[in-house]
This record gives sequence, structure tokens and C-alpha cells, in this order.
Amino acid sequence: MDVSSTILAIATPPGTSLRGIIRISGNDTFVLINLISDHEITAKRAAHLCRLRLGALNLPAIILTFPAPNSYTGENSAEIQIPGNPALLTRIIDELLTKANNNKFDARLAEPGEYTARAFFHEKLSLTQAEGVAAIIAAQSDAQLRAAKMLLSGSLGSLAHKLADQLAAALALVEAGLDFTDQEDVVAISADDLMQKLTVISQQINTHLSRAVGSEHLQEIPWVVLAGKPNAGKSTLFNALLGRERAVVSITPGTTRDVLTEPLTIQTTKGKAEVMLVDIAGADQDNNALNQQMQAVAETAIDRSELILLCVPGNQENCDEPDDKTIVIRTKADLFQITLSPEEINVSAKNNIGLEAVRNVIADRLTDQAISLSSDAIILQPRHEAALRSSRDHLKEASNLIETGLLGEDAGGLSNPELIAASMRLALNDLSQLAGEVSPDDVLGRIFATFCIGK
Amino acid sequence: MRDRYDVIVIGGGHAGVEAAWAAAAALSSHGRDAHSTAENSGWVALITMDPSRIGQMSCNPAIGGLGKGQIVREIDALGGLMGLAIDATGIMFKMLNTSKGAAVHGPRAQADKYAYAAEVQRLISTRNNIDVIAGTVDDLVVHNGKIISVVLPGGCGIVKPNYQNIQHNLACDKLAEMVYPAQPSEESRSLKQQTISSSAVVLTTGTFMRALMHTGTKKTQGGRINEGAAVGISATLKRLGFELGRLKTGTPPRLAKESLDWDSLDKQIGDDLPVAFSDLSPQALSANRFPVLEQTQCRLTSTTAKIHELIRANLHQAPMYSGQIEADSGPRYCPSIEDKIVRFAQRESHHVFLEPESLFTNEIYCNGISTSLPVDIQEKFVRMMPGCEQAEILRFGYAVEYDMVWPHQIDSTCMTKSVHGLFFAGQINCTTGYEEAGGQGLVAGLNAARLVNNQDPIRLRRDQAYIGVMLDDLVTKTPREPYRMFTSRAEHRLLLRADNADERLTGLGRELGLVDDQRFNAFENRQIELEQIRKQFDQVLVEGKSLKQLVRRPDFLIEQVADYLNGEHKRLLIARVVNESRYEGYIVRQHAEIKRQQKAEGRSIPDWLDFQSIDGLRAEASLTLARFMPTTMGQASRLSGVNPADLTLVAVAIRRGPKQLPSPAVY
Repeated sequence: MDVSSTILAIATPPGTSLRGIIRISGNDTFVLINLISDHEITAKRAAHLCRLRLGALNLPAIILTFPAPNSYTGENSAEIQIPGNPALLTRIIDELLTKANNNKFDARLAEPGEYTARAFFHEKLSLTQAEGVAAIIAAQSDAQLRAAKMLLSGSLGSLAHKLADQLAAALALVEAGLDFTDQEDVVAISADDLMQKLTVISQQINTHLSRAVGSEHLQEIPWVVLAGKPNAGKSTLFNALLGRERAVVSITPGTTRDVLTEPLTIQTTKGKAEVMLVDIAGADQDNNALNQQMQAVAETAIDRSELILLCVPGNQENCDEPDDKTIVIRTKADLFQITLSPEEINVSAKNNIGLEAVRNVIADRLTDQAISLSSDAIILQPRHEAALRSSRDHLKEASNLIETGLLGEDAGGLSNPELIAASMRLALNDLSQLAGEVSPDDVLGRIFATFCIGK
Repeated sequence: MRDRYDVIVIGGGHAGVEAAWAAAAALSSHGRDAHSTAENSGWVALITMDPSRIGQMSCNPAIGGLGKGQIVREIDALGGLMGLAIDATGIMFKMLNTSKGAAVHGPRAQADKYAYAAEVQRLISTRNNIDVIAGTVDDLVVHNGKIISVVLPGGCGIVKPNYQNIQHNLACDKLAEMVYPAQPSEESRSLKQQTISSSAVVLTTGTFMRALMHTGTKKTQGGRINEGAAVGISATLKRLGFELGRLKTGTPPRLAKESLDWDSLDKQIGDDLPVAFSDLSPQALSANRFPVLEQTQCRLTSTTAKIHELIRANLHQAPMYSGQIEADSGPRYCPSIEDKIVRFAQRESHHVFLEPESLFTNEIYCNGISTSLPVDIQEKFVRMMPGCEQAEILRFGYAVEYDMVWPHQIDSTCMTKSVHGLFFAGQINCTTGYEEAGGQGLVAGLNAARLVNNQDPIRLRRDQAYIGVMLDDLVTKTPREPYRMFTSRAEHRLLLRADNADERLTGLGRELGLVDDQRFNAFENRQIELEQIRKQFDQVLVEGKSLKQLVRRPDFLIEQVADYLNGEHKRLLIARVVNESRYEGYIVRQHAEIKRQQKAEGRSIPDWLDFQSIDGLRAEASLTLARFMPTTMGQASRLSGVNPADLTLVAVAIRRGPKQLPSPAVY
């Protein structure tokens, strides 16, 4: 694990809240913040009231500084606190990463569990603490990984696969010219061809970045929150309404540990429109810290929602007071036959009973608020967006190398193929965060499939 | 024969000889401490079925190539023998890829294969702490998870070098004579079964484990023509709990040169200014010149549409297609002519390089038509190649299948994870190629000696050497074919160049006792000269630009540099500084990356750790870790399916220490 870069991440749960926090840790933390702050931050433990420069925007923020070793991670750390607007948080992360890159600082988004890992390596956590936190993160990242895999089978995934595939194929042609020039069959790719291939890939990345739905746009979409006790069938309903697997479903109560959001298309009287379907952790009685934190997240989501679908299995009493924005869904109708109160809907997500009724209720209630997104819109997590941007930048680097080479005598062929390949490899590594790893062996496989190698 | 050796090396191929050579160096006075003397240096046994075949080139009579040439340079920088042997016996040197940047230049040379084997044997004979033993190994004896001895059947014995033959070979004007005899003399042969004890054994089985050769439907036991197979060792390894696999490889027919219309064919020629592999050439070569042997040429012919038709019609007789071979796949980068015709059906012709195997025999190696078709078909299609109409086949091509041990069972030190003191190197680890074998042999021999000397094992890093990349790949990935080096496997390709192997490794080799005074002094002198050149690259200004900036321009000719430099400097050293100047920006970036990873990289994972008992570890991570049993955090981080949170749990479990067993009840 690489522990010397400076890492940053949004520390507050997704969604709008009173306060949004970005946590930064690593050697360059303070220098990095000073790149965008109007107020000189020094290596002292303090709270600074300052303004962050984000292009034309001048944003007031509170910055808490924790110099090493007296911080959670044991490294120089800081928290940037602003009003909890996801769009602004993402914007700050972007700005910090771009500035870091321009100034040759080694900064990147944090991996799951990385703050804890660092705290542990700097002996800030006891064995037991570290073990507990890491186990939760491992389980969480497992669920996230599975969720990510499902997400990636969707539009973003197929896009990333397509791009990675094109790039790997282009890299294979460059590598073939490096590793197999002694082979009769191998003709090194020409500068023009390669330039064209890279341009096509960059353009696609650009198109998708521009088409990506920023978090600020999503803020306007009405939220429909699935609420209810653990194991009430929220995630099953979530998946059923979306028509695909998104949330991890398990019979173990409390499987959903985070908020999952996904746009759901509904047929309103004004045509197709989108609402945001939100799956939250079940309201659990258990009082440990993690659960409390998850509950807080869940409550925030319920507060900002326009509609709540309260899931209650058919065999349980509904003890909550009904209110205007709540509709009671009696789940697991395949198992329990009950008499419904008015306004209640009987649903068996498993047997596809009642789903249409739920969609209709949502449409009825939210026709005015739902908004239309273009059909090819994709929703990018900050991590994905960063990966796409970085990939595009590395491709730019490769294109520049091709152009510099062309200025020399060796027009036509590639004059720095090993350098071009190095930049392309980095671009491919970026995409692999979205599309899964493309190993050198995969690239070699393409060469063997394309050319007859072997004297 | 002694009844105890410090290190025993089994097998005298390219892995075995580097292992014996490196172990001998590391066990000698220099490698141990200042007070030891030649008398108390450790002893190495090199056991092989037929010592006259030590260092034999079983397939292609060439050393080096893209990615492989870099490995030879690394072996040389670490004091190994492959570079010296090829420099002394090369008959056509060619630097591949010279139109590209220095990072992908690959030195390659054709060898006189008899001279090569004889030179390897001569070098081995110069180490007075190596005993060469003619014999096979019946059994490996393991006690409490540690190797303690090997069992030799009756009939084995020490062989001595033939100094007359060494003298004969020095003249370089006749076919080389082998230095070691095929069999031990009557008096040195022991009739009884013998057990030799050792706590470090390097096993290099090549293609010999349960080897089966195929030509058409004909099957012959053995790893090479007229040689046997090692049958018992597979069973021994299985009994010790190793998971074995089976691989296939092949070799083309050899033709008689006088039967070919040699002069009518296209010439393939070597470099005008050949570059030596070894930093010690020519000083350390017995001829004291480089190249030593007369340089020769190769020829080029090709297959035709008619040949492809003939082969296609006879595919049912090819063992790979008839199902006669058990192994599932051969290497994709080294396909048989049958494979090429099936997989690239649209092509009507393939190149065939005709390469002399020796200056003094008529054998021509047909590079490009490895085959296991029946002999009559081989003869027919060879004679359909232009210039080969009258060709006489001296030896038919064949396929060979053999057992190997899946490499996740070794560490990147080459020691097996389950048997302490047992090391594997070469094809047994699912690799192919003399260079790959040599690199592993060196690491295995070195670490075997270090184990005996109670020193920590050495793992070469991915940013340090292609040998490090190879061993790391072997222990963290599941290979789908025999592993061959390509430059694209190295993420630090720009750093791992053939030209700077000495700067990467010779200092380390010196510390490890592999590099002798001659090599180290020469290295230090080169460093002084390089520093002078580098200084001038920074200081000499031409039209307001430093020489360093100037050489980065793509239109700048390297030949011009010497004009601007003060004093005479070696051409290759100037070229090296030009190369590093051109790559500087990238290298700085790579160094930053390396520095970042280094801290976690070397952190070792102790053997007491049971991955499956770590609470909270995800099932996928736990299974992967338990299978690969990584020995460093770096290895663990490169396993597919293991993420940072998993690594934290592993780190926590290590910090926590071994689980205490309940203390025995006291009555």
C-alpha cells in the first residue's frame, strides 16, 4: 500500500446536509490547501475561517488543521467544512486534485479504508480498534465492490469497457512494435493511425464527461426514500423497481450499510421523467457507533425526501404514525396474505406483484417535481470522474509525444514508442478503475491474437 | 564424493549452472566474511545425468532478444556466467530494435552451440568448490518440513574436467570438445546407493520431469533426443504435497547445410560493431578479444501456400491436434507451424530463418517451423521451401510435454513455501527460455547459499531488474502458458535498460559476494567516467543550451556528442548518458512512484500467519491469500482480489503476533 501520497475524500455521507466535510491527510496537506485558500494555513492545530477560491467562486469555509502526529492518521491532516452541498464538495476535490497535479504534488482520492490503514501504521489506533474499523470497511467495500460491479454492468460500465477495449487494442499495436519487431508479421502502427485512435478515445471521454450529470443537477430531482426496519425488503423492492440488481440483497438484517441512490424513470402524465430512488439502512435498535452514524445518514435522507415508501412486511404491525408524505408498502405479499388498510399497497417484489401500483403512486404524487434527464445521461461518482479526467490527460500526453516526434526527421513512424506506450499504459490504468484491470498479459494476448508471433 | 554439501544443484541446464555458479561464489571466502579462507569455503554439488551436456542449447542456438537480452545483462551484472559464455562463443551479434529508444533495445547473439556448452563447462571447472556429479536423483528426503538430503542410485560419481579439451577449445579453430565426460570413470563411480546431506537443494528439472516426446504418433520417453526422462521426481514432489501441471513445447527440424542452396537465399547479417553482453568482455575472455569467434550469417526462406495445404491435410497426425498430448496449451508466442497455419489461416507464407548451430558442423536450425508432424510429412514440407529442395534432415522436429510445479508454490526467492531449503528454478516454475532459466538459477543459487550462511534471502524488486519482474509475476499471477519475458511486462521499462544493468545490480552483487574484484573495479572505473560525462552534459553549453537538453531533441545525432566532450570517452558510456538524458523526466516520475511503494513493498508476512483465521477478511481475499501465501505485503497487494482494507487486516494480524497456544496443563 502506498502511504506517502496525500489523500483526500468527502467525509460526509452523500446528499445534502447541514455540513459537508472534506478530509485530507498526508505530508502535503497544508501546502495543498494553501493553493486554494486566501488564508495562510500553518502547521498548527487551529480552526481557520477562510475563503476558498474555486474559479470565479469564492466560498467561505472552516478549515480545521491537525499537524502530525496529533491527528487521526498521525499525519498532517485537515478538515474542510462547508455547507453540505455535494456539488460544492466535489468541486473542491476537483480543484485540489487539479492544483496538486499542476504543482507536481502527489495527491489522490483515498481508497476505502485508507485513513484507518494510515492511522494504524502510524500507531494511532490500538490493534482492537484497527481490527474493528478495518473489518467494517472490508465488509463495506465488499458490498460496495459488488454494488460497483452491478453498477458497471450498466451504462457507465459498458462505456468504460468500450474505452478500455479500444485503448488496450491501440496499446497492443504500439507494444507489438516494441516487443515483436523481430517478427515478420508485425508492422508497427503509424503515427497518423495512432493519433487518430487516441483522438477518437479522448473525444469519447470528453463527450461523456460533458454529458455526465453533475451532483448539482441531481439535487433538483425529487427523492423517493425506501424506509422501514432492517430486513423489511427495502433493497429487494429497490432492485425490483429499477428492474436490475443494484443493491445487495441478503436475508441478514442490516445488509444495506450506506445510502444507495439511483434514478428511476416513471411515466407521468407529462411524459417520462426521473425521480431519485433512495435505499437507506434499516432503522435498527442496535446502538453501536457505526449504526448510529448510518442512522443519522438515513434520517437526513428521509428529511430531504419528497416521498417515503415505508416498507412493512405483511406479518408485522405498522407502528409508525402515518403522515402526508408516507405511503405504507406491505412487502413480502407472497409469504403473508393480509387485509390492507386503505392507502396501503401489497407488494411482492419476488413475484412482481404490486410494482406497477407503486410506480403509479410515485407518478401521481411527484408529476410536478420529476424532471427529465437526457436519455444518455450518466451519473458519475467523483472517483469515476477523476479517473476519466486523468485518463484523458494521459492520452493528451501520448498525443503530444506523437506530435513532438513528428517534428523530427522520423516522420511517419513513431519516434518515441516506448514513451507513448508509457503514457497509454497510465491512461489504461485510469480506466481500469471503472472497467476492471487490463494486465500486461491481456495486452500481450491481443498481440498474439492479431499477429502471427513466433519464429 | 562428499557425504555433505552446503548446496546441491540438481540439473546442469541454464538454470542449474547459474545456480551452482552463484552458490559457489556466495559460499566462497568473499561471500562469507573477511576471515574465511578458500579452505573453509562451502561446497556445491552439481548433479546431472550427463555432464558432457552441461550448458547445452536444446532448442534455438541463440542467447538474448527483446526483454531476454536485458536479463542476460542483469545476470552478468550480478556476476553470472551467461554473458561471458555467449561473448566467448557468439557467431552473429545483433542489437534488436535499434530504431526505437534505448529502453527497448535487445541484445541478441547466435552461438556456436558446441562452443557455448564447452565454455559453460570450462567456467564451471574454474570454481574449485563445485563438484560435478554424473548421476540422477532418486529421492529428496524431507524431515519436519526441511530438506535434509538427496538419494542417488548406484553408478553415480564425480567427473573431472578434461584440461586437454579446454586447451583444444582455446584455439577456436575446430569443433569444440566438451570439458566434462558423459559418465564418471570406473574408479570414481560408486556402486551403492548414496545419500548426500544438505540443507539447501536447488531443483532444475527443465523438460525432463515425466518427459514424453512426440513425432507424429510416435512417442518416446525423454526430455531431449537420445536422453532419458526423470520419472521418480514427479512422484516425489506430489508426495511432498506440490501441485503439478503439464506443459508442452517443441523444436524444429535441423538441416544439413551442404544440402541447401545456401547462397541463393536472402542474407541475415549481424552488427558491424557488435556489442558484448558482459561488462568484463573482452578482458575476462580467454581469447582477450571480442568477438572471439569468426562471425557468420543466417539465411531466410519461407513456407508456401502449398506447404500450408499439405500440413492442413495432415493435421490429424499432429499430436497437439489428435489429442495425443495431455498438456492443454503451448506457448502462444512460440507456436508450431501447425498452430500458425490453423490460427492464421489467411496467411500464405511464414518466414523461416536458417541459423547455423556451429561454425564447424553442417547443422542448420530452422527457426519458425517447430513441428511434431510425422517424419515423412516433415521431410516433404521442408523440401518445398525455396532453397531447401534437396534438404537433408539431420534431426526431425518434435514436441515434448513435461511436468512443472505451479509457481505460486515458490517465493520470489525461488525457495518453495512448503519445504524449507528446497529451491526451484527454470522450466519447473512454468517459464521458458535460457535467459529466464538463468535468471532464476542465479537467484535460487544465491538464496540457497544465503540460507546456509544464515543470511536473509534476497528478492529482486520489480523496479530493479527484469529478473525481479519475472519472479514477482510468477508468485502473484497464475500463468496460462510457459512464462517468457517481454519488455511490456515491466512497468518500469524505461529504468530497466540493457545499458544500465551494472548500475542497477553490480553494487548489490558486490555486497552479496557475487561480484569479484575484477568486475567491481571495472564497474567503479566506469562510474567515474560516467560521472565525468554527466557533469559535462550539465555544464557544456551549445547555443545557450546544455548538452543534456540538446540531446533530447529528436533530430540530434548522438555521434555529434563526442565533439563537445572533453577527453576521450567510451562510445557506449556516452550513449548511456544520452539515453538517460532523454528519459530523465519519465525516470524522475517513475522513481517517485517507486519510492512511494517501497515502504510497504518489503514488509514481510511471517510464516505463522494463517490467512484463513483472520477475522473480518472477505472470503475472496482470504481464499486468494491462502492459495498464494504471499511472503511480503508488496506481493499481497498485487494479488488480484485483495484490496487495501484486506491488507490492513493482514497488517493488524501480523502486528498482533502469533495466536498463543494454551499452555499445557500441569499436573
